[in-house]
Amino acid sequence: MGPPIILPSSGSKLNETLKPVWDMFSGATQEIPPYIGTGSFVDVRNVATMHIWAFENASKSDGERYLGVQGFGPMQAVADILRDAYKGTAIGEKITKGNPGEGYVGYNKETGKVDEIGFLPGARRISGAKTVREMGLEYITLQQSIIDTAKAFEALL
Amino acid sequence: MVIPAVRGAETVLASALKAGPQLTSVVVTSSTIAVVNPVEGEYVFTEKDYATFALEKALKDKEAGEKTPAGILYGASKTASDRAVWKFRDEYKVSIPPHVDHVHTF
Repeated sequence: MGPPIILPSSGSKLNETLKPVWDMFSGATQEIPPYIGTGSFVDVRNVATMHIWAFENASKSDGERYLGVQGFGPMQAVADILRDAYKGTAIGEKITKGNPGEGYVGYNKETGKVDEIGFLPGARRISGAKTVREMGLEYITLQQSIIDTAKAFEALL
Repeated sequence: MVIPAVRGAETVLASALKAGPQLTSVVVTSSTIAVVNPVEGEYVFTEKDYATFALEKALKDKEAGEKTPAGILYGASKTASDRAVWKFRDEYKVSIPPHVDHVHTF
């Protein structure tokens, strides 16, 4: 996830990860798309940093695995973040609504803001903590990632 | 889906080896799908976990002549290509020492 450096000629040509975000942002879909893969989230800029760190610290990273996971990235939370960021604008009116707050913990019904994106009780999860511990990586939040992605998408509207 | 993923990894690594001493490290981008297995309850997956379910299911289906769903095949391809990378590391670490790292991402 995250803002693309090179934009395609139209939103419909975006890659598999960004296409569902575009579909909600542009209002091309009325329904919340299913989550991709395991539902875990990491920003592409963090992924790039991880690769460079692994290369530059080869004596430490040799033979190791590192999970790049900031947390949970449900598409309903993506829609909620977009609608809050574009509240009161023409763009905001078109953004897919779904059922705000459904499927995760942390939607603030009073303010309409996504305070956090927690798993529902009983859900399996993937830990990206080793990467913070060993690489000193600071994860970009889903909120920041989606806002930066949407800014890049504005040129395609 | 599984065979091209494995051959793809093998081909890239074999080509990289031709660079000789210029090659110092190999950083591999994988997927969290190569980590998770179906589980009950609040299990937390870490770097210690290896997905096995999808590849086993795909192999069983193949033996029985049954079609494997695309999502399972995708997971199977990630596990199979991962294993190809680790195998390559074991085979070549003595002659030319590439640092094979795994960056597992979404």
